[in-house]
Amino acid sequence: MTTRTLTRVTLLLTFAGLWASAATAYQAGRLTIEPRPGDATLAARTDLAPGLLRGARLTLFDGRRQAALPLGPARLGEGPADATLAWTPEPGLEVDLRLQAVGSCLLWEVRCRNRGQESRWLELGPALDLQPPAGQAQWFDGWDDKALTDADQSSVRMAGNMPMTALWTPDACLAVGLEPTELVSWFRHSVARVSEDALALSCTARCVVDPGAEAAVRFVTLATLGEWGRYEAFDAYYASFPECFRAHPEVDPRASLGSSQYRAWPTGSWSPEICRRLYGGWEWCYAPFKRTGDIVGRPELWDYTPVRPFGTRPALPRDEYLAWREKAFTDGAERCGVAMMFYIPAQVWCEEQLARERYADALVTDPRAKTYFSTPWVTGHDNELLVFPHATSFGDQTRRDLAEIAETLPIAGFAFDTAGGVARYTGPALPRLEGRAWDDEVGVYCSELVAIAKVMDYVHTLRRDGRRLAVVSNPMATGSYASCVRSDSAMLERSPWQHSRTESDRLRWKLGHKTMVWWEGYEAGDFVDLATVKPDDLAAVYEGLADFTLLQSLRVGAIPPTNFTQGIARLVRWLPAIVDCVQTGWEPVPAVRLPAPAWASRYGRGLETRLALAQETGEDLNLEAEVLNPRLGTGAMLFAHADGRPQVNRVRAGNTLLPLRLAVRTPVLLRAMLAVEPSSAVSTAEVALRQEATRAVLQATVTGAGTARLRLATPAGMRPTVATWAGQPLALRVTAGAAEAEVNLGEAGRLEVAFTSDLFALSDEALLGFPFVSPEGATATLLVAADAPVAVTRAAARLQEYFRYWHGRIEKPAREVLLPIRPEAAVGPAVSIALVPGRPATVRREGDRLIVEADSAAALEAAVDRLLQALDRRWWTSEIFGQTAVRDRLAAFSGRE
Amino acid sequence: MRGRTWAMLALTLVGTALAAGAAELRLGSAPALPVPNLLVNPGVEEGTDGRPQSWAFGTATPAIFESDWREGGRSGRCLWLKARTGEMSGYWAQSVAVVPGTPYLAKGHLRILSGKILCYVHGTADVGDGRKVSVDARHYRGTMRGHWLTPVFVPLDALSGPDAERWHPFRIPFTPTAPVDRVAFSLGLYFAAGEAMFDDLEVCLAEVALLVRVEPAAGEVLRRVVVRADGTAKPIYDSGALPEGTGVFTHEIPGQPSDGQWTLTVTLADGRTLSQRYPKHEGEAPR
Repeated sequence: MTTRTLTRVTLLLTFAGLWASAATAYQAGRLTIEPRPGDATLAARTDLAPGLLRGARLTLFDGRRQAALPLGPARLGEGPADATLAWTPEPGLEVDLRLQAVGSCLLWEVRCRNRGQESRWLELGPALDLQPPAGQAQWFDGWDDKALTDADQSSVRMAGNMPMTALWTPDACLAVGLEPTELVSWFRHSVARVSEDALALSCTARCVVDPGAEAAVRFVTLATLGEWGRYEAFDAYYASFPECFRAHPEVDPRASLGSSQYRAWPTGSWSPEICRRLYGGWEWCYAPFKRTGDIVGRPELWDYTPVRPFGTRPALPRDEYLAWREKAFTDGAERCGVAMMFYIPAQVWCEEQLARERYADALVTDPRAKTYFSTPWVTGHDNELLVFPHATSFGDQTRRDLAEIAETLPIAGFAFDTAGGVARYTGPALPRLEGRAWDDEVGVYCSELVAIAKVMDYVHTLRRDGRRLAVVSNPMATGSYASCVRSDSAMLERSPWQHSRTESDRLRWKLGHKTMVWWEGYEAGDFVDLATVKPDDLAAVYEGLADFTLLQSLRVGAIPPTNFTQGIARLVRWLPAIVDCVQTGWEPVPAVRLPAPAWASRYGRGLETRLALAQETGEDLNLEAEVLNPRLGTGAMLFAHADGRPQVNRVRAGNTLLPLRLAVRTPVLLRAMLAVEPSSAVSTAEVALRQEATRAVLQATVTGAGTARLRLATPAGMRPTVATWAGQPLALRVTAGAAEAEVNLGEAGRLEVAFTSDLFALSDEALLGFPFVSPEGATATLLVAADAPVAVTRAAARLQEYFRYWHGRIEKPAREVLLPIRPEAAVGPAVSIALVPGRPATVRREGDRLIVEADSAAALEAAVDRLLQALDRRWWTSEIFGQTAVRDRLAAFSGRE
Repeated sequence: MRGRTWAMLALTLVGTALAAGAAELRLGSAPALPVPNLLVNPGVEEGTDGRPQSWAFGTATPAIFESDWREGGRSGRCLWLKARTGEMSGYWAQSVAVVPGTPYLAKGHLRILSGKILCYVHGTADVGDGRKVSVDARHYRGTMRGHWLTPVFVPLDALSGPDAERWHPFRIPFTPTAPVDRVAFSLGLYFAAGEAMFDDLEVCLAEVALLVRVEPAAGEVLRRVVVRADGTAKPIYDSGALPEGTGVFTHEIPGQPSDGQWTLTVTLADGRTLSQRYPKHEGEAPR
């Protein structure tokens, strides 16, 4: 959909008869900008809404003089070789602009060179001149949608704004913003009236250019469809800079799961299975250091007098403390299989004595920020000062410390708390810093966001076990865009109802497609008097909050961690689907029209599309949702319920119409199963997917006319084996990763496609009926060769733990069941686990032997993951809720499903 | 009822006899009670142009708030506010000068119709080196009645919270740390959609020194002097048996709450007991 090529149209232009040069039209997506020599305004247009976009400009403001700085005549083809336009606004200041298409955005790189003697305080950025039809436009100020007024409006919400502002009509959305990796300490979104019917939409950033130096700031402009307003702009933005809105591809993929939320920090007797069953992929290992600012625990910094007494663990001798820490990380990583994230307060807080004695150059003294904690904060026993962890003595130490931690502890990344800060640093390192801004309160400064971003970038350069270290952060909804762009996933330290229903949206927008995780928990004491509430009333509150969590998780793409799921059957049953959606990636444009108050959220596109639909009233709603297929890919998409139940699809004018009943507190989750090309060939279809652990069958009854190409969605971990159309064999071919076939559509043609697992070479019955355990105890032996590699013994230990957990914690009465791990075949059933070079991962059964094999440690671990998930079909549990009085009711809670 | 009437009559007679010539009991305080209210327009009755005098509403997100000076207070007008979302907090506030290191009390009455209120006293002062000291004393109170999750997600019957139809008193003790010499008393909604009202507010010294003076009449002998705070059995002061010949008895009891009430009881050698309450609130209108 996006135009990724730069269209260059060369024109000969003459300006004042003095010189002639080549002019180029720059096009990206639906936006075209054409520089004009001698004119500060660039010609700009979009084919989406002729007349809406009237031009584009670079604006420049002198912060010292507090006055706009006219650019003067533009010079085309002068200045640096790669410059599009160049200006000399006044002697000693040179400005040039380089335009470049990036995805569907036009990138504006604005460079300023200071040839003068005094540093320049500038505010600059692109402005789009717009003439929207009266009463039809809305403005997004980076945080909220606003109506246009006669007055100029602007937003400088460094703490939370999207780095993009947009204005849209039903036909088109125009947006201006920062290139997402750009680091600036100050930016402003504004819409200003330039005449009665014309507006200027702009994003400007402040920068400081020292004498003899050059500064550059990169912006983007874009034009896209208007139907979904700001979300259309986000869609184009994400697609143009995909690496900013997905987790780094080389970090541990468990960073994109939910959090184990202290079930692995510290580990307990049942932690491995609790974490696995509740999709706790990463742990927020809180404050694993004695002294804030000394995350390593260096001997020369170990002994000091805290302002409040140490707790038990920080009071340990250093070697004992470090030994405890190493064991705690190792337990979580190896025993629980959780990606352990070493907690740091984004390295912006440091114990007071340490900060004053060693890192005084890093102290942040912003008079408007909280820079000092004299009350318990990170460790509880320290007072802490705000510091700047980049290009300062503390920044240098931070890098050494992060590298040493990465080398010595089995971690998968760092957990950045307080990651969204924007306090202003004005200390001695300031002249060395990039991204500086200015204001009339503190003069020149650099925002904390720059330092945090640099620390995050540095973490991504560190490696362990062949992977880059991950950044999991807590930036809050009000956190900076820069932290969100650099995080691989993030928590929102809120429950879904705290503050407002949509606070989570602001973090979601900045994260793009990345995983977001709720935090906190139910805190039912906020709603009821825990001392007097009746158990049934309390359970009803939990059920309602769990249902709300379910709906919001699907609406905004957030994974509920263990505090929300543990022991609540309905959420645990929905959890795999929620995780699947979030990992597929939230999409800003739902591409589904449906009547209010119903809502829809989309994950993925094409045959990867998932649609979540729900409403939040007290009455069931019957409605028809219209899926705009051209927004999803090619052809008409046909959907089934994600749990496999059939869904009726009607195709009209290329779009898919879905009759739905949205029940109270009950979402509908649909998956694209088929794409039909051309879309005009199909009129109706009923689609279902019957899925087991080891096999699946897609069944569709399709009515249409003419020859059509059917493309099939393949369930994860499976491959199509046999297909029939109207009872006759149907040949499938695989094109671009999807199985497809041609059929002649008519009245109620029947498609059936069988899929088989690429791992399980046995049936569900054979797998789930395998005699692991009998009423008398363990019946199966786990066979592991005496010289087996660690990966094999770990796989056996996970299977052993699986049944130990089930019979020791879930089954009543509890009993200890430990499948023996032995090197040789024993009489009776056995599970043979081995690494076999060259053999694809397999789980198969030969009589009373279950065989688990793979050719690498990673493949074996993945195979065991899937094996355990398959076994969960028989040995399923919602785990155990903490409060006894409501435990049984929540374990049986299924909502209206 | 009949017994109570007789008892009241007896007390009246005793008081009359004392006034006629018995020992003189004086229970007072420094400063005298009631201590001055530092707030201007504490009852929120004064104002012009629809705005209460000396009170101002503030928030970082005005778009989600409504605030008003309106009828419906405990008497007359009150401070009212409503937040449509919990995106930001917002407060009515007034600042007052204080003496660092001195205990104070901020108090008032509130009605919480929905949401979560925060009443707090706060002030900050620089002490150099980028460090600040502050006072931050808080009173939170919340109700889930009227929460937007009801009734679809949370059953109304299960919810807790103070009666929305009644005024509830609150009090916040605080001691400003030096050099904080000015604090704000803020009353508002704390990051929660909701609605609340505030009235009859006060910031005053938290403590007074009770001053006891007993002067026996001629021929009377003091045996014992006891001071009790209302509602407590254990005396806050008990002289024990006084030595023979005790003349004018004086004593100071520091650190007593400025919103307390006490009874001074004097026992004479002849077994008679005399008493006096402090402060007297007979004329105070019921609230």
